[in-house]
Amino acid sequence: MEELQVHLRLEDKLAIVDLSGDVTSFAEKKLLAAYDKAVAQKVKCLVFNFSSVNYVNSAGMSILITLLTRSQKQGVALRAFGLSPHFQKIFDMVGLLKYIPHFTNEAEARASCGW
Amino acid sequence: MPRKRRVKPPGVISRSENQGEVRLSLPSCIGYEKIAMEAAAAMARMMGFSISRVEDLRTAVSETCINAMEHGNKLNAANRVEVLIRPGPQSLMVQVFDNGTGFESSMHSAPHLEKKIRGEEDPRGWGLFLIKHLVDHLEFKTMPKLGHVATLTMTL
Repeated sequence: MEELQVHLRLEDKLAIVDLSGDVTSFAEKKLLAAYDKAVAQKVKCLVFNFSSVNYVNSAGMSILITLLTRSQKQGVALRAFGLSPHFQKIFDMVGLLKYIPHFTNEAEARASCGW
Repeated sequence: MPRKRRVKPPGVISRSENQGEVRLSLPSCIGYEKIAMEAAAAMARMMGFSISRVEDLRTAVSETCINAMEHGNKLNAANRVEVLIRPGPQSLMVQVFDNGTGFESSMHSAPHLEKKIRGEEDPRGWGLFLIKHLVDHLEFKTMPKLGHVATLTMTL
């Protein structure tokens, strides 16, 4: 089932991951592949754009946790913007916002990376 | 003079009605939970729940159905997950039935994010945690030979 479109914008030390669709168990392959591609390009900050995401379920959040495990080992910072108020609440409930800080827009998320 | 018939505003369910019950039968395939999720959300909107409560219900119903498919019916597509959406005068009840015997006790313990990040716990296992925190009342019941039912209630 194709539920999520992932577009990677690679820049020097920074990558924006534009997501469109649903973040569920079906998104795992694409999300891990985008992360691996960014890390292979020596990216140090990965910003997820959730502006076009309609739905994130618990399996989708577990993929983000898997990415957190990898990113902490590899010294890559994770950031996010564009989550709906509901999913900001859910991410906060789970504790994810502590490790993947959420910003109002792309400019603020980029600025938080230091580039 | 002919009596004027009282007309309900479109999309509003009278609180005195109890015939608005909706039943769904889903195969135990991940993805189909969205059908129940959207049906429950539509009912909640018609009853006048706020947008944030509707969103809470969407996530709770979705996670309950996923649990029923995965843990109750072991993702056997032939085993159906039955969903009953029942609007009441002051509340909305959603029941999710599966063929299982209920949750393992490990599923009831609170997930620990840091342990999951460190790889000491499976990164999955958030469903029950979310359901508990998003609905007003949650109840599980195992019926011998009949299966398991999760009952979610949201109060207006």
